[in-house]
Amino acid sequence: MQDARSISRRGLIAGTAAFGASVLVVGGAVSLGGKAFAEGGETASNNGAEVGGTQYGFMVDMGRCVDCEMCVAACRSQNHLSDETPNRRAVSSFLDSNGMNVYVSTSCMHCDDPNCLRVCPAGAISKSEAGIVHVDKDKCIGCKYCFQACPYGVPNYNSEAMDKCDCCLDAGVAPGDQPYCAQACIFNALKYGPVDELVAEAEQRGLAPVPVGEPCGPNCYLVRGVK
Amino acid sequence: MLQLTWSWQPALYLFLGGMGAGAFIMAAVLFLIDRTKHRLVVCASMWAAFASLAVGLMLLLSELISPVRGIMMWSAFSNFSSWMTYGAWGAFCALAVWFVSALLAVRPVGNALAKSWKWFKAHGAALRTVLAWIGIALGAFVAVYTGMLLMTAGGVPLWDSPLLPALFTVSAFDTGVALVEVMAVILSKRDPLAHRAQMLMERIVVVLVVAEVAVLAALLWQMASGDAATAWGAAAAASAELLTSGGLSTVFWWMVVACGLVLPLAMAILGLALGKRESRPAMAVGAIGALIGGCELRFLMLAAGVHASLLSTTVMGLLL
Repeated sequence: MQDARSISRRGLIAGTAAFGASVLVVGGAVSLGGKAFAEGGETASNNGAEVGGTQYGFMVDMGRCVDCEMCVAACRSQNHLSDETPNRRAVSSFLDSNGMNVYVSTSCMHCDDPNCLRVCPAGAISKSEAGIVHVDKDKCIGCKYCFQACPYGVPNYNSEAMDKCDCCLDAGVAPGDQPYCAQACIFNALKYGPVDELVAEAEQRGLAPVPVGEPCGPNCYLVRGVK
Repeated sequence: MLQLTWSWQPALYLFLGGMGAGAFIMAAVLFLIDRTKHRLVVCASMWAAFASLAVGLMLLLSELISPVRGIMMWSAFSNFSSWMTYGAWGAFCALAVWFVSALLAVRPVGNALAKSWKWFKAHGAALRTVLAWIGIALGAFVAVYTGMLLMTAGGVPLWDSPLLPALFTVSAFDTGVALVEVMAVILSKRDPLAHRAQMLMERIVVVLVVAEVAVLAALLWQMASGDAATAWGAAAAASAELLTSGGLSTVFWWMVVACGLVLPLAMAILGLALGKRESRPAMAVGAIGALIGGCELRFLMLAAGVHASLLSTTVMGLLL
């Protein structure tokens, strides 16, 4: 190349400084990110604390569930889920050490500190009365970030918005009342109520309830009672 | 099992956004180094950066269930505990600043403004400098953001590491430099690169590729050495395995490592060794390799980002 096109020393220093500055900005942004992340957690728990009332949740007895899927069907029909909308509740099967099938019915965990609420850019997710994690479908933009945030991969999507269990709030069930899935369970395998009471009751029966994982403080507990 | 909820549009956005950010930074650096040289390369690169981010954002918008709600940014991005909110506003600002920078880099536009606007005639050069610095800051933010978006999601073990934004940032700079190199090769007859500028870019490529290899290796090692007894650790290890020896490994080793890292490194070293001799083909090959590898990296990182089996682990713990 021609010498006339060579770069001056001052220019080179300025350029290097610009690149260095960008690295500094990167570092700053990473720290800011950490801060935003922490603040996000705080916001989520504040929202939860605002509920003030009792946290409700689910207790699933694996010893009683027979995979009849009445809970799944009741959920679909009573919440008027469209054909394209995936099930809000699922029954998963496992094999125990004796080769026997064991079934577990789960849905949204209505976490104490929900990740989905923290990451929703539109603020469409809230923690309402009875600790129910609820989606405002008129606000949801459908970015699916909540799916990536939920450790359980709970959020589903249809052509309108994100869809998940709201303890039948939008189907007219008052907060704290029995959602249709629990009402449909004739084997008493799926119970809904104040989480503290559900856990205490199970412990009185000599069982040891275990939350489904640890992240975000899930309010769904599992026990294995007598079959 | 692969992560398919976020498919090709978000993956391409993460690539285009990062590449655009890196390209604008590199172009602005060339501009700041010497405002009188590389006018065409700087101008074309700034437009390419703007176009990359614009296309990326359009892709993201098209992926939304309600794009109309997404366009209403004041309500769609109003929750500031979400990194997506910061990212949306940051990308929007970057788009605006990059557009004005690119517009002012077009010589006839600058001349026309200087003719008809006294203030611009006196302060146009300073304005472009200020815009270049703001654009660099916003570019750095966008580059970091593409990784932060995944890391702060919080539900995917593979993404749950500060090494991921580090990887995406280095890759954004790397692919951005590659895009500027492609522009420089295309425009080499009308606006040949100064030798020192070429050497600077080749050296930057060497440093960035070495840094990227180190961060990528550290991330994979961190994931592979997760506690397999926990659902989280097992999923992280499964993701790392998917990339290094599982279903995605062929694409990972050939397209990301060989094409996206080894080839650009080799070509940059060759370019440095050639010195003042003809090195445009080497630069072009290295840059195209870096772009293919950088793009594939985003696709693979998204696809391998599987959720942990928290329910299975809890149930199996109870059944033991």
